[in-house]
Amino acid sequence: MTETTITDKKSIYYPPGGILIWFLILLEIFTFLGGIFAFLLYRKDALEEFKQAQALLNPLVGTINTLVLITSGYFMANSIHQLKDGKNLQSKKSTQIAMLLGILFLIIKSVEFYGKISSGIGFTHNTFFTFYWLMTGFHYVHVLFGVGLLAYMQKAISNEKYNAKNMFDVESSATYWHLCDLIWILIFPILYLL
Amino acid sequence: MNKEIKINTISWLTLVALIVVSFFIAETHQTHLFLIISLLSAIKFATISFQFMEVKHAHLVWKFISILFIITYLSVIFLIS
Repeated sequence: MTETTITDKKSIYYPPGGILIWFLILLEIFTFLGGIFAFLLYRKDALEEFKQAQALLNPLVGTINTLVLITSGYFMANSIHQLKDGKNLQSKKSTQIAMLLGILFLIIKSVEFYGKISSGIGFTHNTFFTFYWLMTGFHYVHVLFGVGLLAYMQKAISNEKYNAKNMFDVESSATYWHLCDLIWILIFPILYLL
Repeated sequence: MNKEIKINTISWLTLVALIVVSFFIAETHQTHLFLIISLLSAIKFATISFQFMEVKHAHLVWKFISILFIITYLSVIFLIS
């Protein structure tokens, strides 16, 4: 499978990870893009309200969480190349690290969510927090699903179900995992920094 | 070390630097903050898609779609801001 996968990647029908996952990626990032644009339009009309609401978020925690997720993506990207090189053990370890960092991201995010809920800042608190809960909530669900995928993949790599000649599912999972990076890279600055 | 893993490492370090820079720039509250942070986000997006997701090895159409998305993102950001 891999021998053909490498050359097939130049085909329009075989982007890295497969065309189905790329349709999902396009659907997802353009949906989130729509959300971002709606957020920015509402923000323009109520700048002060949005800035006051944003002050209730901790940009340092958001930045640390971004670093955690990006580092996770880095290990997952390495895992693919290690598997291609036949280094299953290293690939499994990289996938495990990626998964653990994904869990760390979810823990930090859960603590933030808990803090907001405890302070009475819910979905209907104001327009800023309606967007905050929608965007970070959907992203959270994506990461949660991704962690499940990585958990399965690291186990399957360990059991030699996937190897240098059969790694399409691992590539698709890695592509999905990077989708979580992409979405976060877009929503993090508008919610926490701007 | 695999050549691609070396490039991944350089890309990761670049991403870390950009994320940290974005945080500190945001703290300065300067005039063009909105555009600078958005531009840095676009660079991060391109790094992840082209290197980590291996779009650089994909068919031209997928590279074009990735770039088109970034251009759309930046264009609307600039229009709204």
